[in-house]
Amino acid sequence: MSERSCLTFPMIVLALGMVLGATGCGRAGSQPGKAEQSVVVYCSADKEFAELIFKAYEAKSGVTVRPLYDTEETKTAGLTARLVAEKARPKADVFWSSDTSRAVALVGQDLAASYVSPAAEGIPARYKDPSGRWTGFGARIRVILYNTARVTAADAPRSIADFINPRWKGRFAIANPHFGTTSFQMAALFSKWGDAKAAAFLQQLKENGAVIAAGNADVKDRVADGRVDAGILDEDDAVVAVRDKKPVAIAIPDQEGADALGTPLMPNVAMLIQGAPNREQGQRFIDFLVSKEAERILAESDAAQYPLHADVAGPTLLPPLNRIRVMEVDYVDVARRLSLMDDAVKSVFGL
Amino acid sequence: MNSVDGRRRHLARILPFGILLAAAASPIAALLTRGAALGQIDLSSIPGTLAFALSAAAVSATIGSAVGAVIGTVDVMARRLTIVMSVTLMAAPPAFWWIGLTRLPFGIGSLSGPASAALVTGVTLAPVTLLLVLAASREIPATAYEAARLFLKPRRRIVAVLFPLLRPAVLAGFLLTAILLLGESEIPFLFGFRTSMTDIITRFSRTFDVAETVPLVLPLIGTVCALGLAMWKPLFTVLFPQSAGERGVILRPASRPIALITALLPVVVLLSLAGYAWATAGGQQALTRRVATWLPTAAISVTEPVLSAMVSVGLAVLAVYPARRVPAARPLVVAGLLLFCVPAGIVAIGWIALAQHVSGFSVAPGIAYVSRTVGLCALGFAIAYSRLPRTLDDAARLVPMSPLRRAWLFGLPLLAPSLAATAALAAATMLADRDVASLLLPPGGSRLMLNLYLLSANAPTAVVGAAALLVVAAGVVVVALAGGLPLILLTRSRG
Repeated sequence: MSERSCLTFPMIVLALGMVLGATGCGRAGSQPGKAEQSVVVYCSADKEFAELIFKAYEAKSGVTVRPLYDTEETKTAGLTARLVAEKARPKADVFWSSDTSRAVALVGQDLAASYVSPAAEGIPARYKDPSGRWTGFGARIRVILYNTARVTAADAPRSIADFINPRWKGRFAIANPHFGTTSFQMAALFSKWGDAKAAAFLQQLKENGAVIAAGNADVKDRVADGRVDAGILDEDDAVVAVRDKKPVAIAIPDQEGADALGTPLMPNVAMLIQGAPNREQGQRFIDFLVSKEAERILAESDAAQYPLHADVAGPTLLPPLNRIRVMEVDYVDVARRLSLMDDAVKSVFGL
Repeated sequence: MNSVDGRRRHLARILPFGILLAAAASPIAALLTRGAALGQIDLSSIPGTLAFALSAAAVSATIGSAVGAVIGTVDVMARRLTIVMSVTLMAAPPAFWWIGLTRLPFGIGSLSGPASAALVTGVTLAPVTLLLVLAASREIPATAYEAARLFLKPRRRIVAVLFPLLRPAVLAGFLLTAILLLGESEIPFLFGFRTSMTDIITRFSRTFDVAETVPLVLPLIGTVCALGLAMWKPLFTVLFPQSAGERGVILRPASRPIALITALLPVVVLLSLAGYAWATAGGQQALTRRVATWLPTAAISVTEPVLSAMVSVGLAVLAVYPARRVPAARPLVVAGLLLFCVPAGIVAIGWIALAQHVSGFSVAPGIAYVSRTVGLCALGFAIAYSRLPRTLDDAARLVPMSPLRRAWLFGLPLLAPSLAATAALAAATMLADRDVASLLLPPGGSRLMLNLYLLSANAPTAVVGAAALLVVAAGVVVVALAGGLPLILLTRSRG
């Protein structure tokens, strides 16, 4: 054997190291070879549902969607923090946020570029920014899921305020209010009730033994297998439990009485990122994302989301939107209340 | 040669190892530097984290040592298969096995809280202690143990003879398990309580700011180091035995109840896999199409850990081989072990800190995996070399050829089986990772384990089951490739 062949081992290690370093290393904002044929989407919607949209878009346009998802435990907040950290050198073209408030909050940080999509023409004005820095589509509501083996329909909670009643002490779950749509709901209460009353409500939830789950899907699992009797979560998580034939039922909270609070309606948000590496592709993707076609896909799937285009049919497992009392909130104000709400959650729950 | 020359030569030999570890530790150093600049420490989650880790480690050490002592001292049916099945639990994180168990149709998923979590993780990490106890049992002097068998009743034999002989292994297993659990984030999320690692992940995700996270990271690294320093002596007593050539205890036939103990861990593996298989029942047609779309992800999920493990083992061999006979290399092996003990999520955050400092470079997950496992691979090399008769290495040095050629022809082929096992273990830890992938993967990137957790949120149970079974299949391929390639590469040089 020659001396040269002894060098095989170090050379293999070196070559493998270079291959390894090349897979994923790179300057921020750099794009793969066919940059014009791909769009980078930061997406906090559940992968299971978001992929339906991505595949439909890829089939229609021939453009590859390169998504980056949030984990369930760090819903939306993870991606918004990442967008802020990458502000100087954005990697994302589009932010698809499943949480309206966290996305709208980014507008104040100059992270959103203006783009008024022609496909969003039929979406009511209250669900989009007039200058096109965010556009709502495919909305969800917050619901109560209860375990039918442990709670009868007559005894089921009808309001989120029921959970401060000692009757429910330690028997209900909510997701970590720092993240996802739970953060929206809590911030919406700060907007609707005022800071003092909303903070007091958080304190009462804590004192009544609220179980803080890892995410909405975790709330669903806890209710479905009877670890808690009821929980507050998104309708799509609840629909999944019903579809899986778990012993559960859905109640839409705060619907009764003339002054009922209503339940929050939370549109997904499409946002073009300021300085997006591939702005044109980002715009085309947003055109699809806020279109009737995409809303139809989200309504018909287990995502069960309410279309904001009036002429697209809604999900079949839930009552139509016009029969639901929706909590009237200003999304921009809800976004402003997020940091106050975060501080209150930290102080009350120690999270 | 005077002593100054000798020290210089020793220093020159351990220098590559030192440089390698320094490079691998650079993300941790970046975090520590930021921490020192900030001067803040948040200890709030350490007591709860330690309580969980130590109680789970106690469960783990109890089960692992009991099963290990039985397999190590009596002849049970299908002994090798039992060991392989039990060790399979280490190839995936505790949460993976737990989610499989929750898919079974008899409602096992309703556990919550730290005590239940300690029980579940204790069982799934029991193979750590089991392996160490098995290794220690092979070093027990056969004659002494046979004498004890003749003259002492079983209980007295276990308490007075067997346990003292296995004590370093049990202690090392307990501490190593506790260290591994300090980095666990998924189980606390699933069982609804907080630990340092859940706080680190959530705080970092909320801010993407390393400075915000460092006050939580520092106490955790300190705790890992403290436990690691307590662990290294008993661990090295087991891994680097003084005696050579002992045959260990002579295995005697086991009574049936005793043999049943050894079935515990394989049963957990089978039940969890059955849970996933049960979940997929009825959805085969749709699943075939779905699984086909995951194949590119499966390919990269297999390739990346195999490549990373090869690089890790290769770098470790290149750096440690020159230092193999230098006593001063031992503290560096301990440092390498501590490096591996730092949770993967913290290593990833450290790389992000470095990348942010270098303004905008992103780091491939493979780099983070190599930096974390290179210390483990150095330990694997050191263990393998310590078990070679020194005379073989001495004899090889008499052959007139260059050191490089000698290593290639004589040294490394003899170490090949141990290096293969080390590579397989390193690759399995990489495949099982979720934290590095979720923090460092570029847009469009996907890995099987991350895919499984993302799907767990809302995908139909059949889809989650299929994704999990694909992870298992990928795990088998990864272990086979990572274990097989060093064997092929290094034993070919014999010819």
